[in-house]
Formats: sequence, C-alpha cells, structure tokens
Amino acid sequence: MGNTTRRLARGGAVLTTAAVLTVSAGPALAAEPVARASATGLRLTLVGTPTDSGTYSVTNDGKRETATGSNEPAISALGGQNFIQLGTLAQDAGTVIRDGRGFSAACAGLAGDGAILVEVADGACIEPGENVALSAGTIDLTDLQLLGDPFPQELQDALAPVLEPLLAGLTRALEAVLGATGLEVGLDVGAVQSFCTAQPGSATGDADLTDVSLFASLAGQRIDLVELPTNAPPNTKLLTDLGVVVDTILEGLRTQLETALGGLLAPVAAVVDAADVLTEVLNQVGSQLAPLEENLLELTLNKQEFPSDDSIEVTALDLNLLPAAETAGFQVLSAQIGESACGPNNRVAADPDPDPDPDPNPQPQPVPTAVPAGVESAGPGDDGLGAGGNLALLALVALSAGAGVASYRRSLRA
Amino acid sequence: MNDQPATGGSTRSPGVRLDSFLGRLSGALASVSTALLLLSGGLVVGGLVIPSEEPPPRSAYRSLDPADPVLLLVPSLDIEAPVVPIALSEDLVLDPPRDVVDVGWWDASAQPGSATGSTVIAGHTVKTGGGALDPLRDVRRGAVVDVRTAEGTMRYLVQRKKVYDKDELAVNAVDVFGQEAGDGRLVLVSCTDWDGTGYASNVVVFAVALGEPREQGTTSAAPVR
Repeated sequence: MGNTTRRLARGGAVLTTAAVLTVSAGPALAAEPVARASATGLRLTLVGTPTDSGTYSVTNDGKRETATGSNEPAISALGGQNFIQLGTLAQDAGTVIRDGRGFSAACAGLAGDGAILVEVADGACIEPGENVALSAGTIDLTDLQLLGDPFPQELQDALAPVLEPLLAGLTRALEAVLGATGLEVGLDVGAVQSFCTAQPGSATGDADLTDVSLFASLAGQRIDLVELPTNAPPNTKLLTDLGVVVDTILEGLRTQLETALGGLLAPVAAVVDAADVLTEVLNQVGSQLAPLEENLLELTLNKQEFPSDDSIEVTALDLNLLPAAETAGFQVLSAQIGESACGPNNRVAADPDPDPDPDPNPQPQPVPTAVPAGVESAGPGDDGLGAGGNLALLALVALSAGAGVASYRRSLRA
Repeated sequence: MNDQPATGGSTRSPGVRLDSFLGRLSGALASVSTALLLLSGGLVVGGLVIPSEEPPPRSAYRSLDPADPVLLLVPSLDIEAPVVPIALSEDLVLDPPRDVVDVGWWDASAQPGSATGSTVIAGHTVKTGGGALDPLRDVRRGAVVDVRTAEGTMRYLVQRKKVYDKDELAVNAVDVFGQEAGDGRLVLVSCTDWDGTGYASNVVVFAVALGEPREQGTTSAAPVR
C-alpha cells in the first residue's frame, strides 16, 4: 500500500514538474506564423563596419499581429557616416488574415527631406520630397606621381634648368584641378523604395526609383554620369563607365599645364617642344587614372531573391564598390537601400476549440464608403459663420431683441 | 506484501528497477520545479520590494476622458474649425457639414480620448477657397493636430497621408474608417485632385493619439512612442 502511495506521489511530482516546465517553455512552443514580413530602410557597410536603420518585422499567428523593431527609422540612428546626412527613411510592414489565409506586405526606402510616408498596403511607402545626395565615396588622387622614372631622361635633362619650378607649378596645377577634397562619386535621389507582398504559395515584389542619378563631383564641378531607370526590371545590373571622369580630369589638367608650361619652358623652347611635355604629362596622369575607367561601381536595381517559392526579398538599390577600387584608394562601401522581405505565409490552422456558441450573423458596423467633401465654390448659406458664429449671431439677435423690448417699455412709461 | 526495496542489483526485479528509476527521476524533477518556483517567487518579491534605480520619466501627456469634439486645430496649416456631429447616410455616404467653415465628426466613430477605434472628422475643400480643410493636402508628417472637447484638448501627431480615388476609398473603407481596429487615432478626410468639374479623390490623414498635453499651449509635440 505504501509503495502504491509513493508511486502516486512520484507520478504527481512528475506531472507537476511537467506542468511547470510547459508553462516556462510556452513562448518557445508558440505557433508557426501564418504571415510575416520585414523591412529595412538602409543597410551600410563602411570599411568593413556594418550599420543599418534597424529592421521592422511583423508576424501574425492567425489571431494577432506582433511587431518588433521600429517603423520610424531615423538617419541619426546610423551613427557617424558620410553616406547620408539628410533625408527620410521608411520601413514598414503589415499582415492581415483573410478567409483563413495569411497575407503580408512590406515596403522600405529612402527619400529626401519633406517626403511623406504612406500606408504600406498601397504599393509604396514614401512620396518624394526634396532630393537627397548620397556620397558613394571620395577618391584620393593626391598620391599621383607625375614625373617619375618613366619620364624620359632626355626630357628631364633638357628641363633641368627649370625642373624645380616646373615641378612646383605642376603640383599646384594638379591640386587646383583635382581639388583638396578629391573626386567624389555619389547618388542624387528623389526616392528609392522596394515593396513586396506574399500569400500562401506565392510572393511578389518590385522596386521604384524616382529621379535617381549617378554623378561625380570634381573641384566643385558636377559631372552627371547616368540617370537610373524608374521602373527597372528585376536584377538590373548597372555597371558604371567612369571614363568621362578621366576625360574631365585630363582636360582640366591640359588647360592648367598649357599655361604653366608656356611660361616655364620659354628659355628652353629651342630644345624641347612644350606640346611634347604636355602630352607626356597627360599620358602619365591618364595611365594612373586607368582604374577609374574600369567598372568601379556596381549597382543592382530591383534586386530580387527568392529564398523559397513562397517568399521574396527585394532590395531597391544595391550598391557596391568593387575590390579594384581599393587599389585606387577608394573607401570601400556597400549600401543596400530599401530591403523588403515577405513570406512564407500559410493558412490558419483549424481552431481545435471553436467558439461553442458563435454569433450566426455577425453584423459589421457600417462605415462610410464615400465622403463628398469637395465643392467648387461655397453656395449661399454654405460659407456662413460656422456653428460658433451662428450661435454668436443668435445671441446677438436675442440681445438686440431684448434691448428693443426694454426701449419700447421705457417709451411707454414716458 | 513487502514494502521494503530489494537490495543487491543482481537480484532486482524489473518492477523494482523501474521504481528506483522513477524515484531518481522524480527527485530530479522535484528539484528543478522547486528551483523554478523559488526563482519565480524571488523575481516577484524582488520586483515588488526592490525599487528600480530611476523612476520612469514623466510623460508629457496624460489620458483624456472621451467626449465629443468641438474644435479642430492644425497650427501648421492655420486650420481652426468648429466641429459638429454628422451621421452616416443609409447609402453609406458621410457628408461633411453644409457650412464649409465647419468640419464634421462622424458620430458613430470614437470620441477623442477613446483608447480604441478611430475618430473620424471630415471637412470641405472648396476650389475657390474658404473650405475648412482646404490646405489638408499640404500637411506634413509630424504635424500637430489638436482636437478640443468639453474634457480638454487631445493632441495627435500626423503619421501619414494617403490619397484615394473614389473607388479605392470604397474598397479600403473598413481599413480607413472601421472602428474595430485602431487605438484612438484621428482620421481627417477631405477632397483633392480637382479635375475641372469636381474632386476626383479624397485625401486622408492619419494621426496617432498622444494624449492631453500636461503643459497647455505647447506647440511642439514629443516623438511618437
């Protein structure tokens, strides 16, 4: 009998412990989400250091939506970086259950100041405001060597009497052309955003670029390189040809050098042709700028990846400085603007314990389906004093009437 | 019946080994459950007895008892309009007040101060000017909106603006005006997109409820959330 009692007591202890453990582990055993989506406005990697605007994620277990992260990202949250200083970030996501199926949508992007954020379910989450400039990187050209060993010895000998002043002049000319801040490459952005939706079995997405162009800035002069397409097909690769930048640099140098050489080489004009020197110098500079003519910037527009058949990840603009850039002194940068992810979504599982007494005919509250709130002009009586004004007018009339009655009675007494 | 456990492993019956195993298992599980219960109790007592290092920051806003709205103010747009109740027609049309300088509060929507639902206020845009909500299309995210009631002033912060054409508004009516969802937000509605003969779209502004400002007269709003 005592053995049976002990067994019962032990069984009870086991059950009690199991109950405690089940309660403790409850969150870990939560149901699989029926719908999910997430959005990240901007992700940056600068010289190997990643930073981002945070990710806003929503999941729906079939009964309620749960959100993590912020859907109000701030540029300041990105910390110290030069890629973007001003602008409006957007990242939002939502879920809904209809007919037992999980639907989700997400939208993420970036625009200039004054942009308006709109509902994620509308296919866009940001309306452009002012344009914002993004600095893709600054190229340091100060280490260029103009007169190195490859420079013909014969020419160097001929230039010996004036070599030092010439070198000083060339250095100043180079600095003037290239500018103290070097060559800057950047994006001028109206708005960049991606959008996705998912439902059980499928997921789609797209990206939208409004008024986006790639430019280079050299000594205060802006060189427009390419205008990015508004509705780029999925995974559009845009390889930049910066040859136009090289041409601009050389043209600037030519102007500067022609002036400098014209004066400095006058004493030795008989033995050396200034034009030859100019050509040689420009060739030297041009060869050292050769990496610029390669595809230093790789842009992918409307980048779409499908982790599964029923989920999608869309990046509106994916920017990478290629490894070749490092040899030219670039600051390595990777930026992903507008990352949206949707799905996979499922159907809501059958409720094992349905409402035993459901309302057979739930009546949804009627809501307005039309608000005719616009007129061409205010008609007679439509542009009155308003409710407050009418009340005041009524009070004034009553006061006047009272005053009239009082005056009349006073006149009768008189 | 012998209740004493058998000794000598080689002579134990299967029932005795199971009994021994259950004994060890229940002992271990009892220890775990005791530790969890002690931890839970400790957390509860600790939370009650040990004060946090810093008291929570005092909110700049307090809750407001729900009441009918009487005045709408949007300082950034220079909007100041009396609010009158309006009802939904049988054909589900919400007509703003005939007097275009007034705005209408849908009397079946949430009162300002409510913790649930949406407060819906509609007002006219007039092509030639003079409508209470003429400048609504220009509202900026973050703009402050005040709604006065007999209980005080409820402050809202504009979060987003959306333009719906007539068909889109009907399709999205539940999302925009439905009272089942919403956490006391404000929904302002007027018209936009003049096409030469009439207005083709509605502009809808969604604003999140902050509460009644503790310091009256403040024009700047604290960040949402």
